[in-house]
Amino acid sequence: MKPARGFPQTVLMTLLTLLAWASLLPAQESPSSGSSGTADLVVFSPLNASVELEAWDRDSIRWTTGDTTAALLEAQLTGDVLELLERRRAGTGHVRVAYRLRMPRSTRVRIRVRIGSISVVGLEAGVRASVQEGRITVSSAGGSVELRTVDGPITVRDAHGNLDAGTVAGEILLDRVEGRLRAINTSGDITIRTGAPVSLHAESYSGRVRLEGSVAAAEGASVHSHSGAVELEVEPLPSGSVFLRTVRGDVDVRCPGAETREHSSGRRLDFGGGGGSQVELTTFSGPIRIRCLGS
Amino acid sequence: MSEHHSLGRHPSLRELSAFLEDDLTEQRGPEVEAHLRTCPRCRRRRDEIASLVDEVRRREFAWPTRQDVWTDIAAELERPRRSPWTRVGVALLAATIAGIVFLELDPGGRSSPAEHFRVQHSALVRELNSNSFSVPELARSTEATVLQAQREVSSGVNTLLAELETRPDDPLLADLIRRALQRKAKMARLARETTP
Repeated sequence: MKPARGFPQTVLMTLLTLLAWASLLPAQESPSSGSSGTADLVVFSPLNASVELEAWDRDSIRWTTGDTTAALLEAQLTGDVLELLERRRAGTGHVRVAYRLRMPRSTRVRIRVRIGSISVVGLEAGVRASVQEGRITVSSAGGSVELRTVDGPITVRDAHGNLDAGTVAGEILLDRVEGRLRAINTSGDITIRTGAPVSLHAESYSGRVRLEGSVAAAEGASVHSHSGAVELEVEPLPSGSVFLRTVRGDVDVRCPGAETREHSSGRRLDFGGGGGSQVELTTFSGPIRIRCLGS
Repeated sequence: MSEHHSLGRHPSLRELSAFLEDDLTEQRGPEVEAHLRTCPRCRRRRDEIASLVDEVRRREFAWPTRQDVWTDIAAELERPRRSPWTRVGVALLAATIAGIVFLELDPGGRSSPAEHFRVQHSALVRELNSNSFSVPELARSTEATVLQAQREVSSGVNTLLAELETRPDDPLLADLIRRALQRKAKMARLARETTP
């Protein structure tokens, strides 16, 4: 005699059946998520948010909202431009909402966050991102990358293209980057690690500006700090000149292969007879230190 | 040799600039004000500086307008890239404006580079003070950060100007002042740009 099926078994079977049916139904959007077909450009400007933008290998754009009691997203697709509009519930401006956006790597992004953070991974076609108060982190990116904060650090790793990072108060780190590089702040250190940039411009007011790797930029390099130090720890230039100009700063050069010439406006180091890359280093009161790797 | 008028000596360019900023001493301020009431030449000079300040502010260190960037994105994407000749034209126009500004500042070619930069600095100080980052959307702590940075750079500019008085022909100092002034303008612009 077969044993009678118990109540728990019946419930379990029913649940499994429902689950199987549910998995066959088309995915339904919940208030916390949404999706769209491809767009050339995604525009998003939330108030108080931590936003993660991530490339994926699908032809669609998908977004999720971490806290739907505070905010919801509304999508408006106009031509190739997808604009995500944050709809805040009254009195929730202080709540930081986490958003996650995934999109094809060829999508361009324009994002502006008032307070919070932006993280970008893998987008190849260009990013313009700004945060008034908070950090921006970008990795594995390409195209035109323009990053701005007022008060917050900017970090870029493994990127190429036109990289332009600007902040009033915040450290800037460009690590393993190539292309046209530009990093400007007022206070906070700037560190750039690069192999062979096309061009390079780094400028701080009171922060230290440090370059590691190579400054053999085809279109020239300039590094400036008013009162902070300018430091180079680089491969000797195959050929080229480094111009050092300071009003009150100390100069310390450790490059045995370079030929030093004094000028009325400063000092010039020639590598390989000069004539190649041109590098300009300037400070008012900050020291200038150069160390050639291998020396 | 300083010239005199029936109501005291003519104010210098620097004094007129400071007068426009309300930055003269308690004694000298009323003197200059009284002098201006009776001296058409100095009034003209003051108006020239005021218009120069406006010009510098408008053309050289113009802040972006409060246009809604996001609604304009599509148009921006469609905008054709400027041709090299257009860029040359823009550069020539900018150079011409810069030349006019400098000549207006100093028709006789007598003012020093320090004087020139001081007027530019005044323009920026006026601009920044008049706006004071009072954008309602700018968080207070952010505003404090920007103002602190502005003060830091202002102090640096004053140090550079003092240095330039003793070494007026040093191109490096002129370059450093230019950079510092641009830094201030860029900070203001950046604060605006990041305002949603």
